[in-house]
Amino acid sequence: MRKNKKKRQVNAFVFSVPYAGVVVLITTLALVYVWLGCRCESLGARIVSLEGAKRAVDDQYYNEKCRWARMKSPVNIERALVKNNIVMQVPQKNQVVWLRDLNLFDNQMDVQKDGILRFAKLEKVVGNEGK
Amino acid sequence: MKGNDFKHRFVVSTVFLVLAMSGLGVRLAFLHLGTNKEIREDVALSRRWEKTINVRRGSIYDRNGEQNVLAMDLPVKNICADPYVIGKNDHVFDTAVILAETLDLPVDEIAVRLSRSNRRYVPIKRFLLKEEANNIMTRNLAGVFAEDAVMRFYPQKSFMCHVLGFVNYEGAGSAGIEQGLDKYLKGCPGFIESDKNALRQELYTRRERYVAGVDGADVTLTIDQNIQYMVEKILDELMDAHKAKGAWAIVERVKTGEIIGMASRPSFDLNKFYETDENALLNRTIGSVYEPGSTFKMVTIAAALNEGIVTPETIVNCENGSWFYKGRVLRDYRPHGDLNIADTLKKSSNIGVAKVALMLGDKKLHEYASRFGVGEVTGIDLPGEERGILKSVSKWSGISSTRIAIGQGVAVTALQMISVICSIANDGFMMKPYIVRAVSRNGDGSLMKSQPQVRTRPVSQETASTMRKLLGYVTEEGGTGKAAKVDGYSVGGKTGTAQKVINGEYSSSAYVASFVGFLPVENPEIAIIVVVDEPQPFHTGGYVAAPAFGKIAEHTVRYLDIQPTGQNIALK
Repeated sequence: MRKNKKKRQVNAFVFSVPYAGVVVLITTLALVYVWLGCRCESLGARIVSLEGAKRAVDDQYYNEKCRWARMKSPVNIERALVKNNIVMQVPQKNQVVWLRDLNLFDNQMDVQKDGILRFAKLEKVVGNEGK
Repeated sequence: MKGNDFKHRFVVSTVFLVLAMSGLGVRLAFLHLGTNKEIREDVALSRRWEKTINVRRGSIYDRNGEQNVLAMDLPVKNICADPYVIGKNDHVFDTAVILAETLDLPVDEIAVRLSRSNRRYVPIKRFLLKEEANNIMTRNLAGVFAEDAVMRFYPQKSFMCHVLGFVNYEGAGSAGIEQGLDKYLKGCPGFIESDKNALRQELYTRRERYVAGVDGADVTLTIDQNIQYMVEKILDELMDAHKAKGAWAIVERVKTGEIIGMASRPSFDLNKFYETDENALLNRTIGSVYEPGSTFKMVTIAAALNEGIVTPETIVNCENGSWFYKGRVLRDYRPHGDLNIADTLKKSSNIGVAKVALMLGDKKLHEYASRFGVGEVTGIDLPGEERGILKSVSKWSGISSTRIAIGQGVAVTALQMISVICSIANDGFMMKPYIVRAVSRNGDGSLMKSQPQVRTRPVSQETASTMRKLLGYVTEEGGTGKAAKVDGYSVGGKTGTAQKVINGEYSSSAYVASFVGFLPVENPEIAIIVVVDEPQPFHTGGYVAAPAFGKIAEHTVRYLDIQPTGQNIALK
């Protein structure tokens, strides 16, 4: 019996519950801090990579825009017409018929001082723009 | 003994460690708790990371907006090399040959650059398009690399060069719209302040300041790309046909003052502005002053009509082509006897107009010239506009009014002359010419929007109406400007042939030929001026400039869908 009693007296360090709680809390906070730091790093890297992708797409867009502008330029269109043997001419005076659309609103007509109707549409008519 | 040794070593080690740690601790405390301002600043500085966020310069469009791009920032590549790496591999000559062949550069020049093996960076060629740069990069040359860059690019090269202007190597607008609207176009660069790690990469968590950049605003012009193209093409033909030193033209909307075409010759490639000589850089439409010659007669006649001194029917004796006044002779191109005012203008009689100027008086002539804007800038939104020359009356001699009345001894820009005729065509209202339609950012909202603006009204509506009729006679049979006629449209205008002043004397071989006019006469929509510098061998405005006016006008009225004179409209 005596021998058994001696065996129970083990000299060990035992955490008290509050102390263990504090240690766990600090450890958790430290881990969260590390995790947040890593997360920030990874988000930062992702932002940089997305910025790079955006820049690449922008570059592509502006290159295409430039190519398109060059293709559409009057000199290129003229060159294309010549290349394809297409001849375009301005119609002669007697080939043009001016139409007045009776259904047009009043503000779509430009009436001269003497009451004669001059234009019956807005688009491209130099005097009527912005009405 | 063994036990004692161990104990001794342990104590010594412990003491040593404690001392070392204490030393470090003291140093640490000294660094952190002390006032080591300089050290702290050095550390902070070495970790500092600053970056400017470059922004895109705004684009320039024609009047149709984003559909027609005239100037834009384009992402490009700069080809560079690391001579250290190339030298180490002993590839200097091989690499130089390949680079020279692909980039069209002299081999020896590249070889010299690559042989500077103490350097880690040398530029080889700037501003290459992506495809061009790829040709090099696919060769996988050791020590050759491409870096990203942005260049100001003009897709249509020399098209509209004087209006657009260009951007210098520092990114500042240096001519034309690029200079005039630089404050809108350049935008505002942003910046980042942060710390960096040992790999010189930003520590995102340490970012202290981030100011986003603002891209430059886009500018929309009043110029129409298609009209501009026609004007430029006709000027090129004119330069070839008459071997002229220069030629320039403007197309303006009479009622608003909008410039829808503006071209000057010689021209230059905007993407290679640095290879261009000064002469070609000048926008002659606003930057070149010339004696207007007979086109200025409309100012004199309009002034006299407005003052009620003459009427279109007033008869003037044109002295059969030669008139002595105050000891100096004035001649007409062709002799005329008695002419009424209408015919004086139609046949462009110097003597007739000089006599009208005498009736008008020096002060009134000067006053009307000023009212028409001679000697003042028009205020167009382009840099480099000249004022022209109009001396004050006190500096006039006895014969000055007879010479100024016919466009000698006075100097104007083409823009001033077109403004004069626009005011006559617009019931006497002189509009402020403008070339910028709007300035906007990212397509939403307008930073600036131009509106037609009346500058002044030099003559009354009645005078303007009479002048329109008189100018209409000039393009009729017997008038000096009949070559300016446009089939189906009534045209009003005035020819001008002015001798150039060379070394202080009027040259007998160098002339400036011009024609300024508007159409249709009944309800003017557009005005056009064409000026040709030193045409050869023919030099009169009626022969050289008027036909070019006719061609530009014909294309423009058709393109703008302006109704022909007297055309009936069918009812639908």
